[in-house]
Amino acid sequence: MSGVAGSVEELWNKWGDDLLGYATVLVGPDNAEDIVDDTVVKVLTMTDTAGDQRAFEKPYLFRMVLNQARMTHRSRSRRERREWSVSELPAHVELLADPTVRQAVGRLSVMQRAVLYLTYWEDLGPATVAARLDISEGSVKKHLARARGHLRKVLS
Amino acid sequence: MSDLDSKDLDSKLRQLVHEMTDTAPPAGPVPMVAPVVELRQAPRARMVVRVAAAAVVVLLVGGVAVGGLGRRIGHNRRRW
Repeated sequence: MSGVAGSVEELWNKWGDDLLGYATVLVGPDNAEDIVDDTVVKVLTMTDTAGDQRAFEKPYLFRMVLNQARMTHRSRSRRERREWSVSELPAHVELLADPTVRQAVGRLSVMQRAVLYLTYWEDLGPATVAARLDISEGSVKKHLARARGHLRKVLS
Repeated sequence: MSDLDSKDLDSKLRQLVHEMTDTAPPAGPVPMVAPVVELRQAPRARMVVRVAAAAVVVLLVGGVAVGGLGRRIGHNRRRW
């Protein structure tokens, strides 16, 4: 138990901020912690009861966050749209300060947000994003094109 | 407002994703170690339910079999 807890602590120290950033892009700042908490509990279950160590690999861990976000997104999507609009934003935020931009972001699907994050935050190409999300490269391009098309209207 | 060209849009989207990431709550201590105890107990609870279900099935099948055998024995006794 202590060995696994130690490993999870290492994982948390190493990826905690990144996971929260990713979850925030996927579901908004108010639900990000819940998503990451649920993911960490799953990691503990996987490693503790099944001895499965895959969760300690970054791509697998991020996919777990994505799956968790997708599972909870449907039931919470309406509330998320409101939460994005009333969340406390950092002072330096410029684009997100615009309510129409926040609404547009709120209407993106979890997959579209995941593709945006991996493309514009991690600077990954479509092939790598496809491998990370376990979907085809064509699907990545489709999600990216739709997200770009959707946000182009409010960013121009 | 004019339409963005592809480069401008990429740059704005990059900025937007960075702003979204900046709204993330700070990472505190490792979250929720307590539920592990509950999760560890879950397989044991499942096992208890499975054993109980199996016992009920065995009793039902056994009861029917013994009852059927008794009827057959009774029938044979009456016959002879």
